[in-house]
Amino acid sequence: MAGKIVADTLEHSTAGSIATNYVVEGSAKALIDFDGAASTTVDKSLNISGLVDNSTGNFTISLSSSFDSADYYFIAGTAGSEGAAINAATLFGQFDNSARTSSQIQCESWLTNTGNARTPYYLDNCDAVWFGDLA
Amino acid sequence: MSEIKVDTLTGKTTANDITVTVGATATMSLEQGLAKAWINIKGTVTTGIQQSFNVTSFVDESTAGHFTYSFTNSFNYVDHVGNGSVNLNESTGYNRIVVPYGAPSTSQFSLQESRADTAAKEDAASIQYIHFGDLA
Repeated sequence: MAGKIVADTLEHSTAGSIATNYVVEGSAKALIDFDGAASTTVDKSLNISGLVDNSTGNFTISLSSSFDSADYYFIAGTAGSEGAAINAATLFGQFDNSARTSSQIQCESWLTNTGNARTPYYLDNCDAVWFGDLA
Repeated sequence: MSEIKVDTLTGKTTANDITVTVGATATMSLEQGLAKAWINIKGTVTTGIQQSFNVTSFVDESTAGHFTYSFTNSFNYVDHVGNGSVNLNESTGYNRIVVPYGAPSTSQFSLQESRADTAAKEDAASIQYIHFGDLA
């Protein structure tokens, strides 16, 4: 049986100390790197249970362990094209907030330099990170 | 209050697997949730790193807004997770974006920052990027 340590502070001999709540609350609770151009191919993930391709560039990402509310901190924003120079401006971010729950979020990748309206687009390097308290 | 003084935390069963309680009952891997590298770049100067973690050998590429840096400790796969942000153009008010550039690598990362409306490449004063994943 693995051991368990309950502590409020971790102290390194030279690098200083940190209250363990910073370790817990400052750690990402979910991660995903997926190839949107290859539909639902997840390259790297933590706490991710599903990725659904809804339409061009539009995905629903589900979490294995839910947050305690839908008000978690979600970082997306960057997506790129692998193996080639970036010739278009691209973004990857949350799509419809009504679809945001403690256990899933809807995202979209799109081109930003195609006029006033965004152009949904399949990008092959979509990354996102979640912070917050799990249920 | 309890305090642990230690230089290294290592999993007993698996070296890089320490479980942390992060919710009322939920647990997760400490190692996977920690940021493994981050960088703050001032793109308007030649030596652009302002602050960084696990980053070395920074290169300001010839194209505006294009930077490459190496990791002190490499990742164990190319598809690690990253994300970034960049300040808007203060003089014009244009939005900017930052995206990965070119093929991913375990040992280095290249980013391109540009105007969101035209994709024109620019050197911004404040570019941040953070990386998550497993190190080699």
